[in-house]
Amino acid sequence: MKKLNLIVFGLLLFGCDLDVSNPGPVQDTFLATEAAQSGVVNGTGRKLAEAMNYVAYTGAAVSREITPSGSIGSFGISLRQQEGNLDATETGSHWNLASSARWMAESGSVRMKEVYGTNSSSNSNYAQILLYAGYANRMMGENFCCAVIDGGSAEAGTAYFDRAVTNFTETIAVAAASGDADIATAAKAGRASVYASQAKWSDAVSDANAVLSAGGDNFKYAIPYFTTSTEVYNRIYYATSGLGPYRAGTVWHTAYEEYSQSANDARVGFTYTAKAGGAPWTPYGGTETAIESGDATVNGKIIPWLVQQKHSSREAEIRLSSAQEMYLIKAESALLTGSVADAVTNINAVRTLAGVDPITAADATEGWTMLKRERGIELWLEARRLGDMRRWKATSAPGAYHVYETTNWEGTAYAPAYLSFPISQGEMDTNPNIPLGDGRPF
Amino acid sequence: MINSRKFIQGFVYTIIFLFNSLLLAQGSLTGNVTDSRSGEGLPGANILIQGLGIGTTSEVDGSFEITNIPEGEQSVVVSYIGYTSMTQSVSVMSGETVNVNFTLKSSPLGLDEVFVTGNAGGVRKREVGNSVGQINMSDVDQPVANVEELLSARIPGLNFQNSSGASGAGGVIRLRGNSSVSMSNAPLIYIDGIRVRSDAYPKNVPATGYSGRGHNTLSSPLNDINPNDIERVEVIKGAAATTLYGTEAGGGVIQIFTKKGRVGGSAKWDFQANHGKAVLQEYGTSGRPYMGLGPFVKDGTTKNYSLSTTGGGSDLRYFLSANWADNTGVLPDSWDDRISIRGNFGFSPSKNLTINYNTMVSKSRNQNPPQGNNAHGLTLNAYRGRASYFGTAWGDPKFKEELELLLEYDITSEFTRYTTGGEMIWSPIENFTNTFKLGYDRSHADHRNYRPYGFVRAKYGILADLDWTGELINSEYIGSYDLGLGDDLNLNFSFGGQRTISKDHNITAHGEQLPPGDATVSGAAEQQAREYRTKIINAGYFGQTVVGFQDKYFLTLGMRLDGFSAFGEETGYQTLPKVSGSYILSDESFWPQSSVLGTMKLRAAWGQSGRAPGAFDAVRTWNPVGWGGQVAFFPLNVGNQNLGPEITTETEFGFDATFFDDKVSVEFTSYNQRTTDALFNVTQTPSMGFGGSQLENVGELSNKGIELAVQAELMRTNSFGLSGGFTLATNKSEVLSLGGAAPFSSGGWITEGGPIPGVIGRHITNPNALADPIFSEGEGGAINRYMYGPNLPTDVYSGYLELSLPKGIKVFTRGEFMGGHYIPDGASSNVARRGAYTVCDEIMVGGKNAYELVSAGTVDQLTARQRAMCTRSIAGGSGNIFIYAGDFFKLRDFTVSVPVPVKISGINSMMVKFSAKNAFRWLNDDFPVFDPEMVGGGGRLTGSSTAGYHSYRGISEHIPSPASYTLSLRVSF
Repeated sequence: MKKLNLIVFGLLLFGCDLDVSNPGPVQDTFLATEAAQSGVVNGTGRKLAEAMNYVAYTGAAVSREITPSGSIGSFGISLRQQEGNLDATETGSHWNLASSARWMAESGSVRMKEVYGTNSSSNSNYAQILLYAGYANRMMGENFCCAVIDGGSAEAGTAYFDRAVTNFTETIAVAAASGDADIATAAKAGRASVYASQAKWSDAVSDANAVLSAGGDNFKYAIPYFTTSTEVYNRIYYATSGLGPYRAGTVWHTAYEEYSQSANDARVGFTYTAKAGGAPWTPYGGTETAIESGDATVNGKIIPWLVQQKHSSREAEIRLSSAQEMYLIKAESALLTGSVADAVTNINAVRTLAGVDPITAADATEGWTMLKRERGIELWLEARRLGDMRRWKATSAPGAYHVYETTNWEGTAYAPAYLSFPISQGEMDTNPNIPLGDGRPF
Repeated sequence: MINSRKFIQGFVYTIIFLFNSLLLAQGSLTGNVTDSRSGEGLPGANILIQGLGIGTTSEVDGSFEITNIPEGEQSVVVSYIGYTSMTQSVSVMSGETVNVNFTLKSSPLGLDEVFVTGNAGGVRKREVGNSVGQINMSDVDQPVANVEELLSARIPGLNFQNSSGASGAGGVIRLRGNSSVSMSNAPLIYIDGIRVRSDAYPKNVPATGYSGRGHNTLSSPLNDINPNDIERVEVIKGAAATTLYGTEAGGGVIQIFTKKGRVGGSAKWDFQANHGKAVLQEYGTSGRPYMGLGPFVKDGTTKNYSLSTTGGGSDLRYFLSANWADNTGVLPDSWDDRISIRGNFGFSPSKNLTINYNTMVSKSRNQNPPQGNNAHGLTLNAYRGRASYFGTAWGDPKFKEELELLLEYDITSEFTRYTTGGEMIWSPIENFTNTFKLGYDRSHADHRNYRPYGFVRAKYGILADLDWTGELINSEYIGSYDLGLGDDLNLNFSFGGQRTISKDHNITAHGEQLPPGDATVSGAAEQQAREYRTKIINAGYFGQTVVGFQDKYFLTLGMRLDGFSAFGEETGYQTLPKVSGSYILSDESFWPQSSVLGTMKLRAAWGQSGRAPGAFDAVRTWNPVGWGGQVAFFPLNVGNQNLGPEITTETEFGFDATFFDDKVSVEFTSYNQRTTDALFNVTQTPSMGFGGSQLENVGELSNKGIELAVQAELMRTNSFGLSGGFTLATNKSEVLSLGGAAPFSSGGWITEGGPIPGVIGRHITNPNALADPIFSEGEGGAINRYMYGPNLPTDVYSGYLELSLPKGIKVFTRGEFMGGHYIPDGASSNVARRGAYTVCDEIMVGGKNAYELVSAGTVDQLTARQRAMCTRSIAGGSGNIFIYAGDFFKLRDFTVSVPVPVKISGINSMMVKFSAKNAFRWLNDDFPVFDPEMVGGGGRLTGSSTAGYHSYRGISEHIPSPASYTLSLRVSF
């Protein structure tokens, strides 16, 4: 009896113990240690890469850098997006990832400043996270209509550019002190493109020259991708290549299809696979060939599947800045100041680097046409086209787009309803400072 | 000196003499147990010599024989489920056989049967203030393929829905609908007092990449149990009854009691063999009866064999069984099998101590072709035809050839289940019982998801292995003391504690770029691993008092103090009270003694239970995700130190009654549940960084309904009988408050005033008009947020008829209707959005199909709905319009049972049965194609390793459950 009493008593006491330590997730308090900061920086970088994945891919479809080839589910292009409509209900992932990348970078830099104290001003991790903050803000400024910071009210999307300039400027100072010259150069390159978006052309050219001086023609700064999980695959590659199941985009009927073959320009290269009995495709200057189709029939037509080769593997990086972009900033600045010759010189500097024939331009309009085309070719599938088109539309820049950028393959006119992503429906639903609507208060 | 040899001889003779004397002092008892109304023998009735532990069970004709009964006056107790027990004194004479017959009176309400579930110790049904559901296997004449089928359409308020026709696929069980938005609405499952796994097994999908890359069906741990091992099932449906189970029991409790050893007589054996076939009924259009899947559809086969034996004596009793099932599915590469073994033992080492120890081991396997919303899937590509990932139209000779390539995708699962546990019942003094329980339930899944090198949709091959283990370790103590205060007043005090440790862990290995041949992950050029481990402890103390007066007034008071390791730091132990009462009105002297009115029990109950958050929900955490081979942190969970359980408070009342000489029994219950501090996955503001959602105790929910069960003996003669019954259950759930949170999706839509969950989409106001579609405005004026209604059936009716014919032949049929709910049809929507919907292909006007008419702009003869669903563009097109009223009726069971009159020595009985399941269906006219029960494992399938909570059901690229036809032979010997 006594033993049983003891058992019962023991069981009852034992039952009080509810302490459990589960492995896996990291407690928030751990992030306030120096040991965690490299993980914070890497997390921010990964988030920026994931955001770039979505923005670059969907933006490419809407700006007709690629032609949607049917798939509308996973890794696909929704029907609205195929029609050129970036709807708030369908761009949650884009907004969420980009917003999170910005928040992680900015809040991470604040935490890091506290963790490192006065040493932060010369700390490499701090410089790196500031750089990510600058690029996250630049990406949002170029691609989103509006800015919402930390649950606040909506502002014009240009607010991101202001934050990006602040981020890049601080990066330059910290990287200089920490001896991270590449980061300092990348920050100047990022700031150059932001200045261009802000129409601060002299500042933009100044930074561009500084970048070319420091990094030379081989300068580039890119965000990497990896094969470890689908989220960090290069999404454009995975969605359009044969490795994934989707075949959701094709180079067919884009400005780059014809140009690629006529100019033999590897920057916009593509491949195709012959298939007996497949849909016919007529390559530029060639004879009709049967090739593999895209994933689906669209309105009764099987879409030829021309696979972009810029992002040729899951781990293909996406450039954030490059020497080529610096030349093109200088070219655009030159066109704005009426110097067509300088513009052509800078465009041809880029083409020389690509190993393709130089261009000429008889007048400013032709110069603008060449610039628009060259930026399209050079910055193809890098999440830049929408921002370019929006900037040129806002300033009524002269020059023509390729016909495939303004017509559907069915022959009907194509004009995207907006050249930017809206505030997401999720942000509107949960942020009391944002009125419900189409996500475009500005 | 005594001669030792003589001494030994004398001793032996003395022993023999005494032994013979003892033998001579024994007698035997024979007789029959029959039904008082029909006079038919009752097979399986328990006959026990009280106080001696000697007994037996009656044969198929009701006869019995007990030998070696000590001479003298003996008290014989005869009991049978559904009948009033009977005790009779008999004089046993040495060397003689006494013949006594027992005529038992049917007791449809079984008020004196002991009901265990939901109470601290067993109580009689007359004392229970809440509604109780019970299935006695002795009442189930139909061959039952698995436990889910056993539970289907038998208890009002217990709703079972099939999910898919895939091999080994489990369904979804709800007790009184949904009373939680974010947490599991699955009932807790207990077997013989031991808590076992309730949620489905994890999905077989790769740990990385799209979470639908598999066959997208879930297997149910319930189906590991051999239904032939079950003696009875007890069901309590809501918080008013489940209080003592604590904060995880808001979804109700199902307790399964397996068969036990029997006292006395020789070992009894049962053998059952079922053979049958499964036939997939057409669910498409006239032109494509299987929506393009036709070339791959075949008949499936079912085989199931069970063998069991039971026996024992007063000290040791045993029940042993083995079961083997082997089935093939209706699609290529689909099959499942199962082997299970059970051993149940009862010991009585002393008069006041009983030990019961039960163990089950099972191993099941299944394979299916890729299905669901899976671009690598057979069903998806078949349904999409020319819009498939091959782009080849139906009817093209290449169509089948290309899709067959998808069958190289091997998706196999093995489940191993080990459930063991026991109880020790010790009564040190009269009326005081101590029960100790220990249980251990281990589930293991070994998934293999293999696309070999050269696979048409992943040419370098992908292999994902998942090794998952779930464990439940539970211990419990219950003390119970009966105190009689005079003739009228009786008190029972019960108290105790319960502790459950839930552990889950899984390890996945993922390989890509495989070598040719039969690969392992080790051979992959790229390898990854994942690991997840969680442990949760739930512990509680409880007390209960049952006050009985004159055996007709009963009041039960109970309380549980509940702690949970996943509560936030600021949340302590929770107090969960309950109170219930029952009143046997018919025991009053004023109750008219007529043939019309029989027994009447009134009951009412109030109580609280709830649901606890998950292991990490309370803590602010970051997810170590890695990036380029280095550590990287992602925001994971905002955290909430005040996170606690959601509490469901339930009030129910009702009555149990019999009428017309007990030929009609009626059970009625009305329930009303209110969930406060409801846990919502509150969507976080994306610009604030963490994104995703955080569990918060912010909501308030309502869930109410009525349940009615009627059974009647409609006719009975010496040769014929007709009985029948029906159940009716309604359910209305509503989100009363979002607590300031924005409307959100939990799979279905959660908004104030809406059901749990609701189905939203675009609604055409003029579907049949020859005009362009006009869409209703929904929430916030948005046309894509029109609230159709609940996703879960609000009205569930079932009915049965049983015809008894001469020579013991019986014909049984059972049907079930579910309605009042809405089902989104993702499979149709997906294909319509791609401009390849079979229905549109077959709408012909003037020699052109609907797509051609839309393309030509000549849509005058098309209705608004036809125009919408056959237009690919969004404006006025097919997006979010495939939502149907989900009403359906299915003939769940049609069974003919024929006893075989064999006269073979040793064989007690032989029965042949033919059974057809789901052989007929009726669907709402809204359903142009497909079936409301082809949703995979539930609409919401989360993550790579967890099963999700099945809160939402929508049609996906699956197949419906096929009709099955089974021939069964059962032999008792």
